[in-house]
Amino acid sequence: MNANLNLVRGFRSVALLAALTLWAGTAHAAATIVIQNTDAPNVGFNDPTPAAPIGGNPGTTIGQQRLNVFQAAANIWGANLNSVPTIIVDAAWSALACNANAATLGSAGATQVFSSAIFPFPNTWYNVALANKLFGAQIDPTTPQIRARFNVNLGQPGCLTGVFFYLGLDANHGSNIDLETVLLHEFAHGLGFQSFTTQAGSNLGPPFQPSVFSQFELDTTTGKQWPTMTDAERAASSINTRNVVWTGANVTASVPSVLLFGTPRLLTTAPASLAGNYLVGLAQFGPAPSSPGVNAEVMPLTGTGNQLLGCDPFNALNVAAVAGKIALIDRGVCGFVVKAKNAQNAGAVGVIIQNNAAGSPPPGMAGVDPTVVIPTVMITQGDGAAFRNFLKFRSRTHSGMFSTIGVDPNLRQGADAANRVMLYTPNPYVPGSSVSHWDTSAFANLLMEPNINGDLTHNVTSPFDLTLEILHDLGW
Amino acid sequence: MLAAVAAAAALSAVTVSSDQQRAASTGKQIGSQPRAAAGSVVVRDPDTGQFRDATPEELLALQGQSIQAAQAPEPIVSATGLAGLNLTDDQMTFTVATRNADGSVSIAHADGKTQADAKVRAAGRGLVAGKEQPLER
Repeated sequence: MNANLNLVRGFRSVALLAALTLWAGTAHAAATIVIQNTDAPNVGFNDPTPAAPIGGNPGTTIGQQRLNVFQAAANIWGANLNSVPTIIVDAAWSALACNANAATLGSAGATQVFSSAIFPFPNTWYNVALANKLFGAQIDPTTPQIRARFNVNLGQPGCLTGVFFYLGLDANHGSNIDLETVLLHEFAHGLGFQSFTTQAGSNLGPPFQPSVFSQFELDTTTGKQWPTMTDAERAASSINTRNVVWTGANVTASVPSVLLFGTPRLLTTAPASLAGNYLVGLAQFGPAPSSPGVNAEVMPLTGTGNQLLGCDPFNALNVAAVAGKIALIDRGVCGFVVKAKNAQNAGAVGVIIQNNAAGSPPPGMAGVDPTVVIPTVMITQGDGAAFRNFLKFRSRTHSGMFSTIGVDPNLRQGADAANRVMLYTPNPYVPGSSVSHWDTSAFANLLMEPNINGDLTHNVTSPFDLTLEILHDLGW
Repeated sequence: MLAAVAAAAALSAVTVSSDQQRAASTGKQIGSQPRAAAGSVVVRDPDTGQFRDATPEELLALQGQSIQAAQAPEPIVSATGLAGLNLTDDQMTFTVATRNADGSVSIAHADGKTQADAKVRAAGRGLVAGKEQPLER
């Protein structure tokens, strides 16, 4: 093994400078992050294959370019965090699981957790890098603090063929995967953005106790913080969609500068028994929900087969039912865009698709048809069932149910009314994604959503992102 | 339909893994028999590209990988007396990329190596999800 130590950021002199300039109110963050290259000769970081410099990365071999990207990501965290003890990242490239259409890009995380009465939260697991910072020294000097393994075969035939890591530093990744963004995300997990709670609600152990991340998780339905819950309560909370929020003050204070107003919703105003806001999945086609939105009476389709499902041009009965109204249509058989176009041709002003599978939140809808000019949203199967229970009693042209496809102009996307950011708690649970990420409704898109979106920059703090703020909440 | 069957099988495998992670953490014995019988799992034939029932060998390979017990963390005490845990690959966060039907690529996560491997296998058969992956119908 070739275990080169590559100093990423020698911030000690910067730290000294920061101390000397505190009088001016300037706070310079300083952490030394070291990439420990544990690759064998000619592999991974040591791959001698020549490469042309790209996107600000001056490396002239594939291996050097890879190392430069790791350095760049570590530089960003090093410039933003304070820690006296050095943070060492044990990094290597290896053959990870893949096939022609999917690949494990990599893995990362803390190598250890520690607990101490001198930490802000007692009986709580802290990732080792943060524990070292709070302790003021390396608790275990023999072990790196973060481990990172990335797929050396990505893009090769049979390993997400043709899709490579982009090794530039300018986020101009095109159809490839921006390695620096992925590293920023994964390093953040290693620095503490990780719940460690299992799907069954069990804490990490033994001894089984909450992580520092869990100390800031609140279920707004039950009003309980996660550390006070039983395993069963945590398991239930982990699928309580969009009702688990982050309570850290730094994140909440930064929400107004990061997340935009206008949470999409279906607002039902009548009957009183159904009045309220309902979660919606958005369509790629037609106009996006807006304010004040489209308000109309809601009418379901009648008939059987494709007529009932909106897959055929509407017959006279359904035209009479939906003209000037919002059509409620079951998901299934044909594409969403077909249903929307048929409803539009019948005179509908909007479309609600009822999911035909359990789960929450409702998924998004694909499709392309620039001639569709009415909004379409999807609701959950359960919400649709409640609607239909009321709609059983209606005339052929009126139901008495009124809804608006629109947005809540006073609610920021991805946050609750108190500006607390929602954690990702879909039902069913998604291993690896649930809880330890922001909810996917966040907009602007955030680095720590479960799906690494293609429009992310390399900024990790407000007004672009909230990752640094959550690390500050954790104790950094 | 075929993809749906394969997806259901893959999700079942994920559930087994999760249960066993919990079982491992509580010291319970972990079974090793695949839940699904041969014929209930559909795979894409590497030669023809068509879906077909998994062979017994493929089923064992598929489920044998996905039902491995998650590695439990190891309790430690530091030289300075702090209680801690050595974490394993199954407490790491794994990132998985999948190619969508329209050729775009979605990036999502898996909870540890065991589930990451299962997700790659499932995604290779067309099961994908996430903010950037809306449903086709």
